[in-house]
Amino acid sequence: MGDEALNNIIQSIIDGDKGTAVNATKEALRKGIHPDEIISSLKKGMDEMTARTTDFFLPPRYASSTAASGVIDIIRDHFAHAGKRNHTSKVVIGTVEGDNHDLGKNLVKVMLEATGYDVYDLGRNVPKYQYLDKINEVKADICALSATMTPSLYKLKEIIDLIVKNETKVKLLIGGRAVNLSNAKTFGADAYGQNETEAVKVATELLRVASRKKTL
Amino acid sequence: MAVVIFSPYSKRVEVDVGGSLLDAARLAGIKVESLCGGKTKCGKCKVKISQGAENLNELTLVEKDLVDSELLANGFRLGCAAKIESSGKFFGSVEGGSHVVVEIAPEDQERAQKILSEISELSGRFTPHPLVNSYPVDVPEPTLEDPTPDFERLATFLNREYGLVNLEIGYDLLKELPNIVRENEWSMAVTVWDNKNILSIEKKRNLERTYGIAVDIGTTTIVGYLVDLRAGKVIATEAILNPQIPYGADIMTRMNYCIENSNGLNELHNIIIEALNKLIGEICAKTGIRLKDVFEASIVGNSVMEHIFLELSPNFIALSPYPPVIKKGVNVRACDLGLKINPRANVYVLPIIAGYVGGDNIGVILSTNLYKEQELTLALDIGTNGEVVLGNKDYVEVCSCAAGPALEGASLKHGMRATTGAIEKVHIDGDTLDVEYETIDDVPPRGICGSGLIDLIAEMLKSRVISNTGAINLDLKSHRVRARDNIPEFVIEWSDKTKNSLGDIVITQRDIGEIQLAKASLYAGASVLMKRRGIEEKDIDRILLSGAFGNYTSKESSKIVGLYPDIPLNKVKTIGNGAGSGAICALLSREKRKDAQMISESARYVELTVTPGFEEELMSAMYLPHQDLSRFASLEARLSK
Repeated sequence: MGDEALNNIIQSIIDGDKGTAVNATKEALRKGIHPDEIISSLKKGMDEMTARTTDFFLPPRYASSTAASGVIDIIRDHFAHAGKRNHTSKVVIGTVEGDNHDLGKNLVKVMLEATGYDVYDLGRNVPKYQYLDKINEVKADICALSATMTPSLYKLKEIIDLIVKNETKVKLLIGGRAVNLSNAKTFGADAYGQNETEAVKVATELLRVASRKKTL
Repeated sequence: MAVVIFSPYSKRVEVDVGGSLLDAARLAGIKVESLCGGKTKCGKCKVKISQGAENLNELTLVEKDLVDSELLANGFRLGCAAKIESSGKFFGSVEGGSHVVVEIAPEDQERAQKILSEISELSGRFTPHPLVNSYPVDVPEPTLEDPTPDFERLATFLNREYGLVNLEIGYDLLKELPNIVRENEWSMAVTVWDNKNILSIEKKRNLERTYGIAVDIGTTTIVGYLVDLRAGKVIATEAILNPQIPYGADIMTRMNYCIENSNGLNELHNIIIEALNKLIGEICAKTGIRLKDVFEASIVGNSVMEHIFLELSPNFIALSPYPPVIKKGVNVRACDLGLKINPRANVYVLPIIAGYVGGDNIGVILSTNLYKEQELTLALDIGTNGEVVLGNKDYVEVCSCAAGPALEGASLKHGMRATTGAIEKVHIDGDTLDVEYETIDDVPPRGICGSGLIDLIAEMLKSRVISNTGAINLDLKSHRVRARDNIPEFVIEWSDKTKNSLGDIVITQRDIGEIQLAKASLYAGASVLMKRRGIEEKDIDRILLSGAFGNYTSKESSKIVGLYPDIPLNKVKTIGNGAGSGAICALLSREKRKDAQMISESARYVELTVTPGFEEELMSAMYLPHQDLSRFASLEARLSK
């Protein structure tokens, strides 16, 4: 029976049906299914949806992401009540100062959460010191920054410079409509993700490399 | 036999029974579009019968299939299918015999005529009342009895004859004054701006020759209109590409150039001034008008273009909260800007509404008069940056949509501007998927422009080449549908039929996505503005499509792709360059300038990115025509068959 709830979650994520996704999640928790299993169903649904769509048509990705964020909200509440959570990597995310476009950033955020990251979303139009403060506060592993307009790139550069200057251990992942791989290199970021799927892949890779270094 | 009359040309031709209206149009030399050559296939040769429908055959099945039912109800027929039937009692005179009156819609009239009609329509809306006036003067020479100094002498005359008070003269002209008046023996022509500033004192001349120039500085195109200030009409129009394009295709990258380079603003400013000088020089040369007889200029542009034109830093408009340097209209002397018209001419730059809603948008509001009317208007100004206006005499609300350059044909694989060789009309045969098209100037195609793209997407949707998500159906049994580098595409024309055989002309899945984003941003902008005011489709009295794009684009195809809300086609109107028309209004009318200021202060700017519900509106509007087909009830039957 538990499988059915999880299958419902997968299917409703693919369909971008938030109402069903939320109900199926509540059902699964009631049945005692571990949240990690729910999260991995979430990821399955997102991956399946990604496989079926292209970069040229955003709405299904947006709908799935909205449905997934509904599921994540419930899981978060669940952890808040249960008061415990396995250690997960932490990501601070936001759109740079002066930039109010957060559609892409939100897609990345949900995809990261669906992958099991603990995400601290600072929102949009976020001044640079807020990133630094949050990174230090939660000891973030990754800071993900989005810039969607060409002039926002200057703010992006400022934030990166500030974080690098403060010698935090955080890895810098950047993306957004205005950003490309060469920006990432010249600005001194650690990685660039072209879309939400790639961002998650790259984030995981970054942390894998980082942990290997630690063990050396 | 019957007489067919084409309005508004008043052309009449005699047609035998069985002859079609398309034949009649050809006989009369009237251009009626037809892609299939009169084979009742393309559905493009729609004409409106305003009188004498009873002298034609009955509505054919093919017309019912190809023509929107709304249009049929309004008397439209296909020119090729509508044939003269009754020979009636033709007595040789129209009044007594069978006759049919065919109305040619403005958008079907030829281009040159279109520009003219745009202007003539304008002049009906307000009384010209320019700020520049020229006066003939014959001042009595100084005598021992009356040794009044030169300036006071002239001022006294102008006061007595023309009622001008508190006249002012610039230092440079003052220095020349004693010589000018004596060289001309006190008989001169004096030109005054705003009833107070003397612009010029010169030899008596034909005072009819008092001109102004109105310019619309677009991100992509600059259009200049030479205006006869006395007659209140446009004499000549000229358009050039904005030479700033190499510095970036959109305002974002132009602003970026200014931020990045300490001399960037100065550079872009000089480029635009030079471009205007070239444009004005060409118009004047063409019309034989002296540059120094151009006494005022009126400029519209988006906020960034206006800032750069005035050499004001656009750097801070770039980022939230997007503050401009100044909002109100600016008056500056031509010589201070380096503009080569009369050096003392005033250059008036229209006020703006917000960082991303500029004088060009005020121009649209001004020229359409929507701010004065009871009727509720939804106006879409379609350019690289699109703006949507909703309002009437009670309120005006605007928003800015990052439509991107796709609808102008830029940024797409085979997109191009609307110039020679651009595919501008398209029809796809629903069975064979054969593509019929028209190019500008009837030459082999080089690419496809905005109007062609909208037609193309609408036709692809109707013929099921694409689904409502825009996805190209690769399962179709047609060699026109294929994938290259894993990206699906549709072939519009094969290489051997193109200009210089430059390769197959295609539209790619990526291109379709860009157009979906552009049209969705306009629709969602309109939708958000309407929802804010609790306005529904039925409450809207008219939709105006402004911009070069809107001018030549099929209203029907635009609706099929879902560019604007589902409103009957007879309420939708293309108005040409509304921004440029606004610049002309401001040039010609003191009142319109006051109104521009009033609009700038009172129009409410709505920032879409922070409006709740905007994202959902945008997403659902990316479908063709919309995710929720019930929002396009008038199309439901045609698209779901």
